[in-house]
Amino acid sequence: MAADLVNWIGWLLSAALGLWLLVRLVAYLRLQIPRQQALVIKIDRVLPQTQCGKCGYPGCRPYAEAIAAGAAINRCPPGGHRTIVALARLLNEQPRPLDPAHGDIEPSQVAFIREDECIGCMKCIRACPVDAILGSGKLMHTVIASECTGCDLCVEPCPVDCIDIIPDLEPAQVSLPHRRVDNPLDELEAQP
Amino acid sequence: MPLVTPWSRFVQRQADSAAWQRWTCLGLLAPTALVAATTDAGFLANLLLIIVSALAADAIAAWLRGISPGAVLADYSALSFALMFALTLAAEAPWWLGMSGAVFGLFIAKQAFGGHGEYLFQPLAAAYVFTRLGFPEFSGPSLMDTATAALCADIPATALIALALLTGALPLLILKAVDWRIPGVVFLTLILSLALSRSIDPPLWAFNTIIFTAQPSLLLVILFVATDPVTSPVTARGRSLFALLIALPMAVGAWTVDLTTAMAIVLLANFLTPLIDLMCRPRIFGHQNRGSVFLD
Amino acid sequence: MIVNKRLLLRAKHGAFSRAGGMKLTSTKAAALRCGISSMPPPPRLFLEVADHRSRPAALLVKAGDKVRKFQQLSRTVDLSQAPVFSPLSATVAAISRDAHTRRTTIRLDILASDENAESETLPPLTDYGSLTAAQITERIAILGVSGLGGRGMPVAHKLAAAKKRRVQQLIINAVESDPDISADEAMIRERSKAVVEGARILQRASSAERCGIAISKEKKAAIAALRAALAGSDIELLILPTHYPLGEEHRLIYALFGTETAPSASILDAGFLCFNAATAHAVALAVNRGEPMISRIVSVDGPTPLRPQNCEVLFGTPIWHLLEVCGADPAQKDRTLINGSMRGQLLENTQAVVHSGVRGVRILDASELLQSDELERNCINCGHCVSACPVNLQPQALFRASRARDTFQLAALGLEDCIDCGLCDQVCPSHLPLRDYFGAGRSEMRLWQGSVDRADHFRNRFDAHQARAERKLRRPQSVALAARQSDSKTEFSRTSAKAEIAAAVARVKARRAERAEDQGSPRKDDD
Repeated sequence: MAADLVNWIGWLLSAALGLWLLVRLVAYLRLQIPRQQALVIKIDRVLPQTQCGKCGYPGCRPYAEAIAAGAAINRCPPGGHRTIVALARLLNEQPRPLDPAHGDIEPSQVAFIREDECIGCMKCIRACPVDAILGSGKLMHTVIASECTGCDLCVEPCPVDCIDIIPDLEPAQVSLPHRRVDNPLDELEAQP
Repeated sequence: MPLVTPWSRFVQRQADSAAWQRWTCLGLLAPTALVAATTDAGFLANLLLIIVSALAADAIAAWLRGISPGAVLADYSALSFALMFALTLAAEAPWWLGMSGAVFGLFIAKQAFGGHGEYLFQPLAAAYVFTRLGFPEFSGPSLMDTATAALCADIPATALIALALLTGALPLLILKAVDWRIPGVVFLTLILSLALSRSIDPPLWAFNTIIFTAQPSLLLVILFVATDPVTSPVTARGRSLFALLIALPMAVGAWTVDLTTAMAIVLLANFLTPLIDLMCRPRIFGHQNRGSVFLD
Repeated sequence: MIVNKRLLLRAKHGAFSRAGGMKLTSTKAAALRCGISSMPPPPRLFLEVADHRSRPAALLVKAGDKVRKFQQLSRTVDLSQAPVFSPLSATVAAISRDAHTRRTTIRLDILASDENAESETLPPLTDYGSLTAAQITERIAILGVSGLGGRGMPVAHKLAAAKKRRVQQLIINAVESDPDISADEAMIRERSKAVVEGARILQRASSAERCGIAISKEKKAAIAALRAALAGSDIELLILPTHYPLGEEHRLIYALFGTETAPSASILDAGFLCFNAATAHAVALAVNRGEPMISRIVSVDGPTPLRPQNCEVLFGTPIWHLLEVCGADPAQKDRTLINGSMRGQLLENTQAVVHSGVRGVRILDASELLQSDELERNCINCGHCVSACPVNLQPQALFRASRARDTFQLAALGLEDCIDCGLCDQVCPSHLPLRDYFGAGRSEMRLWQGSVDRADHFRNRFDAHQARAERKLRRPQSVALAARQSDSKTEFSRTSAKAEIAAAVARVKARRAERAEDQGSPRKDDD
């Protein structure tokens, strides 16, 4: 009789534990959906928003969604090493060097239209994802440098090839007070 | 631009990590001399081979990593490693055992993990466990423990070696090169467990336990191996916890704990050091949270 | 984030070891022996006015003008920048602007002849008690009084920020816990009355409930002078033990009142306001005598032949002129340290001038320099830095994070709360230049924040672009648009335009082909 009772109590406790675990599991899974969405937003916040497409995705938000789904984090050249490190911290991964298939690390850059050669065709204006080019049909086009992300999407469409990509004036490098001049790790750390 | 940093005239004692290592080597000279006095010339030959191979291993590893070997050797850590390692060898260890242990300890346990200051496991403990467990046919008690000749009067050699180790560790404690809390908590725990067992067992057991604790090999572990700042937590509270983690297995094991067991216990505690560091973070002034290397 | 702890009596007089910081040996005795020395005015002064809100300074003079002592030279638009005044009668020899450092420098050639012709900005006051707090603040703003504690924030700006909150306690900071700077102490010894006067004025201007002058125990002569000047006043004298870095306002408040305030937050949030003692003195001069701030006391120290002293120096004096007057050897130019060994910077620009943030100048002894070609050692986790840190940070973790340029870790570890006291740097047995690493870490954090702000801006523009594109797709072709496309009023003929475009395209194709031949790749590059 006592054995049966103990048995019953054992079953009840196990059932209660199982139920509690199930509830926690469901709550956890339900939390993942907004967490995943929040993760995409967090990743998007970290990306440089140049909307250049060098990562292979049509813009930064699609790339953010891809990263949240498992894409590699080292495909963004305008973001540089800093973005890769930031993404690595966000996703609890190891930072990696930039994937050379997607370009080299670029310093901060802006587009510049050589006005002598501009023919006013508006092709670059249509191409610019942030509307940083000022101009109208058959009128002079010019790049508003402070709004230009340096994505160089305007360069290809220009029929007269009058757009240059020039480095921005802002230095983006911080140098560490290294006295250890022969450590190969420093080269990785010295990237912008 | 040359990097010029002012020395501090205002901080009472300007510490120097290379000087600390030199003090360690100095402190180990007396035990080494005593051990050499009680054994034959084989020990000195072994010592020389270990020193040479330790320095070579460090230098070659530095060269492979692209760092100046001179800078790596200048911190004297290879030398102190070699001196300690030679003391822990068994009597029947062949000439190549010490050398391979030194190479393993410095090359793999130290340099492969990132060099001085970046290793997870104490290189000496790792090298020792490697030689003992890897080559069990040469695993006898270490020379420190088996020194049977009485060097002066009736004092056994082991007691003198133990005393030499204690005095050798004293400068390090005074200079704050090692934290006094680690040997302090270990000894305190052992004494407390001794007091506990004394109420159960006859008094003679207590005497034996003191003799046991004062074994030179255990003293080496507690004073030189466990106290390595690189592999122990960085806060005071963390270090006390770390010392407790070492002392409790020792207290439980009582006199079954020999040098190999002690080194293995230290290695396990080293493994838990990052976790202890994570748990014992200080609370930042003005905030409720504690400074974390993780984002949460 | 502010944590109010119960008042720790021990914090007033007892052990500080758990709260970090250290007792440092002081080297101020030599400089204090001479009192405040004055130096003859240099032949040239260089006054610097920084850009304000990305605009160059608005100057009231031009090259060739003669200016009188106390004449205002620059105009300001708001309280966060103080106007600049001429310290002596002079001619404006040249005005130059450095776009890189974003500063305008006015070079003044001193006129020896009419030294005594003053230009008063405001009439002196016999009794400021008739003024309201706002009027006092306005007077301080007009006379350009800035903080002399090191950061150089205009006093009126700080008072304006304090006006929005209730100030329970005003503290005049005479602690000066640096071991090698004694400028404030020397000033208090001789001018304690003005300091107390300044304290009263500031209390009135900030409407603080209580006021206290904080000073450390070992400054006995200064304490005696203050006691005499404070007789019968309700301003308290708060005496603290000698401990570094109690001079930092957050640590100071904790030691005095037990209230913890995060260094990354303002003490105003907790109801405290803090001014340096030399600032109080300058405020007294400004309000009572109508004199703008044109000089400050600088601690000068160094090996022989330099004579250690506290010197009253006009703003704009070249630092090396000051050192030479005190007897320094010009060959040691590359070893000048500004603002003390603990928090100071090595002077890289030997033409730098004295401004309100220069509290001390020191020439380093040869024995004090760590070898510059010494290769960097490793951090051995010894924990000395952790026990020395007064803000309970983990400098060794911050060091590793700075080296890895990990801004997230730096933020999580609390680099914003680092008060740059330099203790970790000095106690490190591996001689790691921790302050330099933390400076790099702060720069990284700033750059990262800058790039995040930029990215936010670009994202907004991209979203606006997308919205506009969508609207355009949905909008039916307007009549006007259709009309414009077939407009024949323009002289530009479609056919000729097409021909020109074709010609241009052909040119471009030829150029691209050329470049492709040269480089072997079709990728376009800038010139």
